[in-house]
Amino acid sequence: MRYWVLAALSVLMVAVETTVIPYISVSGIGPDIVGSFVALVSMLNGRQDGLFVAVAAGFMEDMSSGQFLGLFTVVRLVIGYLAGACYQKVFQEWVLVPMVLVFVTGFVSGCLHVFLLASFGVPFGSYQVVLGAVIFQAAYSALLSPFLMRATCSIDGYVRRISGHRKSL
Amino acid sequence: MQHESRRKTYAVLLALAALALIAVIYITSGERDRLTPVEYVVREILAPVQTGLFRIASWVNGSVRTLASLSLNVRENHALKQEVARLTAENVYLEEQRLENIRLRRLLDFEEKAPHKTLAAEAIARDPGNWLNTVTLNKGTGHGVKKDMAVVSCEGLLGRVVSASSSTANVLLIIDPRSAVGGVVQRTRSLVLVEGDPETPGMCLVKCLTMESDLVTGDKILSSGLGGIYPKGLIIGEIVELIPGKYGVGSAARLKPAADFARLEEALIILEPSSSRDMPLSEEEADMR
Repeated sequence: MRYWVLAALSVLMVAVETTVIPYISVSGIGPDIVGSFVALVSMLNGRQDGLFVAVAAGFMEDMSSGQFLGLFTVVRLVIGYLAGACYQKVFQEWVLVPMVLVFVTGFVSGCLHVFLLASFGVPFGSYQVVLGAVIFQAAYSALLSPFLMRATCSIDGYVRRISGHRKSL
Repeated sequence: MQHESRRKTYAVLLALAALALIAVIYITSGERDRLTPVEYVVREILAPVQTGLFRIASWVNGSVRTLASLSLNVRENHALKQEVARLTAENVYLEEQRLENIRLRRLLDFEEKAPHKTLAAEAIARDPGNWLNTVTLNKGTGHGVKKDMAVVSCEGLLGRVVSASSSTANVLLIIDPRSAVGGVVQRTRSLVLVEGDPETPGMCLVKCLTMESDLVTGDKILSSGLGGIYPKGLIIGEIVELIPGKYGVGSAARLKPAADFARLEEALIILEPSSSRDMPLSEEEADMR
């Protein structure tokens, strides 16, 4: 049940990212909602769930993009792995924790994304422009992370109630 | 101990998966003629979800914008009424000119320029990341869409189809740094190359193909039709800034695309360019250069 819910949420996040996010993007840069979701699930439920969401969401993003297949999956896997290190080690209820986590993982994933694309011949502007965009994206994602965290925790509680499962989600 | 061993297993598995995925990225980094069956199926599954969500987002966005602009509407309405009256008079005059033009063309035995055969499509999704500028349309091979078909909006050129499934098509926008469109300066007929600007998102770079170029701010750039993908005469955009070359030799310019990519909702896919527009530059135009 947990994994079905996680897979469905991953599909929903990808659909939201490709349709709704362009409307709230600033100068073409929008928040990385899928990356934030992967990081939060990994922090809340551990690496196993985080990597599952990373693969499910990354796969859907790659299929939706149709270019550089595997790129999103690699980036999401790295986020899931890194955020998994925080599992049961940080005080999750404090609002700054998800924000800092999403900012750090967003920055790392942005840099990795750009590095991989540049390695495969996609032209980019000067490094200041790219770095500015990566930081802006990470900060934007971090600002939205408390809302996403709250939504994730609510769904988590609901799933636990209906499945009688002890572990979250 | 067990925890440490599990952590190591994860790290090794992750490294192996990353290596395998990087190999897949390398294989699929170039342009491909067709989608893999898995991509095809996933896109078909995602398309209805994306269409529904995009419509909801579009509706919410439209409602918010309408409410925000309510105070301006009264003044705008008054101004528009005056504009309509002026344009109506102008329209009558232009209609007369058009009819006269048709008569003269027939007299000169010119082939009448037929409009392109187009297919209207809705933009249902953007690329998931912020780094590539592609958009997904809700029309695909089932509607006659093929790779490398040009896509336009009512404002100007948008891009070209890079891949298509049965009911969706991925369009590489002209603002993507990987895009290159052959253009012509409307004022001087000089040939230029229009590429996505990697420095300024949403803008394009205009590179001159000849040594003696005299680009000026405000110049309109149209598609030249020489590349074989984009039909001739489609408006690409307007030059907004000149960029001097090294040592003052050669020049480039920054172009603001005519199409609004930030609020892209509808597009027209050119299924069949009209033959007269599709021709390369005429001798007369070449002489002018």
